Amino acid sequence: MSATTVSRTAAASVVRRPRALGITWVVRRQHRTAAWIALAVLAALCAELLWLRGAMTGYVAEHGLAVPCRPEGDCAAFTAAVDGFRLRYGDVLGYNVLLLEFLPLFAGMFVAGPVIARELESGTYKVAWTQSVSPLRWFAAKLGLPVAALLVGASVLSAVFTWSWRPVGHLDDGLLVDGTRWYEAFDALGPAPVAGVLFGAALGALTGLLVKRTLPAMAGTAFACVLLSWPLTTVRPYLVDPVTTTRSASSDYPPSLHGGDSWHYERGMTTPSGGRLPDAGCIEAAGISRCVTRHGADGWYLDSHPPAHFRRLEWAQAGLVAAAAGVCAAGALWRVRRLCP
Amino acid sequence: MTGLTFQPDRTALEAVGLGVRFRRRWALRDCSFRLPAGRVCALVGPNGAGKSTLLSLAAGLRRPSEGSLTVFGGRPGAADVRPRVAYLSQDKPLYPQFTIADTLRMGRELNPGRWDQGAAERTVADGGLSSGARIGDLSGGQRTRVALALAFGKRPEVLLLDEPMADLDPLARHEMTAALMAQAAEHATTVVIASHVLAELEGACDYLLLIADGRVRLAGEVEDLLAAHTLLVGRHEGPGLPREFAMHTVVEARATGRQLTALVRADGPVAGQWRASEPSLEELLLAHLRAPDAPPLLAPSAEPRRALRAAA
Repeated sequence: MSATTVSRTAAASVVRRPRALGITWVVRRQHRTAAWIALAVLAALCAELLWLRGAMTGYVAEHGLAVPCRPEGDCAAFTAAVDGFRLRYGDVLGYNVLLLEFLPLFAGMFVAGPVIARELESGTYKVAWTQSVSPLRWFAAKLGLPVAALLVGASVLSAVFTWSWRPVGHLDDGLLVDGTRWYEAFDALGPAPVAGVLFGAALGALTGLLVKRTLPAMAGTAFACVLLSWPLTTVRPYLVDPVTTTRSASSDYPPSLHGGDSWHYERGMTTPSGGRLPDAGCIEAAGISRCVTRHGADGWYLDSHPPAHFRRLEWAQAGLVAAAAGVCAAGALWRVRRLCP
Repeated sequence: MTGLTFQPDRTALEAVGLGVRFRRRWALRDCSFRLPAGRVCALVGPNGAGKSTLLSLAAGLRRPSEGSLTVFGGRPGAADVRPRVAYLSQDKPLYPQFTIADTLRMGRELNPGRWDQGAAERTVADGGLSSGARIGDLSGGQRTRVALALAFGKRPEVLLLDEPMADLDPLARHEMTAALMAQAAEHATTVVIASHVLAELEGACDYLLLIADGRVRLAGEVEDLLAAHTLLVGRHEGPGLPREFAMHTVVEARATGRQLTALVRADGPVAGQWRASEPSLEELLLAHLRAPDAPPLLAPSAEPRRALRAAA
């Protein structure tokens, strides 16, 4: 330690330092690149959705698709215009829906791998924990900041997509958006992606804390997300009481599952005692009425959700998914407490 | 240096009945010792002896399975202890995407009110490293230097170093040892250096903690421990040890032909024709490592005081 270095130190300590940000600075610096990339992707998607909305509403206005074709009118031109619409925008809408549906998976993989498991795998957590910040506060910042950013991003993207989809979503009995009707694009609309991202992040945190290795944690989270989306789509129609229509078996044909803008999700036979026989294979049978008699049924039922149920279904599912996220978050917290010395 | 920093009344580290179990194996078992503040302590032992476990306990990275370890009388990792302890783990993990400047900024952000930017920057600059270099692009030795800078910048009262010099070249090792000693002397820092390279400890350390198989074998001032042992060389024939050794504690005795070399803790003068000398640090350590059954020896200053108080 020569005299010059000592005086240099003294001078350096006088220099004003930027405001202390603590652990949040470290977390922000760690994910700086990822954050910029995510922001750029978000901006590009918003621009694309802005364009899509303008293009779709322009097409609808130009071809007069806002009003359905009356049977007495010339429907050939109308049908051609609808086909043209689907040809132009069907795929784009489909890809956007797909992207939003996978948002929870991406969020989960990011939280599981780069945010949590990489620290535990590479041992860098030891550096953070042996500074003056407690491990619990470190975990809080480590998870809180990225999850908050993910939720904001998902909210913006979902809002912009819903805003782009809505002008055409229910037009002409949902004919324009066949394939991305409200019950087909369900996970991409309204609060669904936000709740999904919350769940994905909580699941990712729990997986990362349990697995502690980057790639296995990411793969495990992705696998679990895909696996868990199956029971979710299965229970979805039962979250809100459906509208049930019945039809006597004397009319030969069962009610159609193609309901246009209404979601016809289950049909089956009713027995005289009031029991239900969900699809017993009679639809495909050659003599439907004979088959119905053989099962002792006397009528058909159809459970469906009209478009008016959309909002209630969305929020019911969001609540369910958020509750599942809460369970995962509780598991993650338990794990954090176990890991903290 | 010792005169300036010796604070016999303050206790830096104190272990009482300390044990750590990994699944079925005990990494540390029934460890009791005391390290007075202001010492530079060599933590020595063979691979797998429990050195790293002991240091990570003191750093607050893990909990003991039994017994206790205190740092300045408090639990390691407690809010008032954590800021006073710096720790350098064996693998020196740092964020590879950070630059050196980022890493030091992290030290400042995570140690508000303590951080000594000058000390950290000086440590880095002395190695000829530019602050814009990315950690991921540095060599192992250069990363060690940055990790040490992070530890120095915290202005710790206890500095725990786990194999700090392992991947440094001899010149850098010499420089870093000098920087470390200057740091310790300037701020009366208690330093614990775990190593199995005896050469890097000789001369630098004034305190010794030898652990093997998870137990404390030797603890105390290097001078006192050396003075407590005598190396005896002489002629001896026949099986067994010479009768005149019976009243002393024999740590280890080896015969080559008719010549017997023995390290003993002499209790009074040794009778007979023996050339007696004080062992070197290396001879002392090797003898104890080769003789795992020799009884442990704790210097008075290394006796845990809490255990004594409890017994009294």
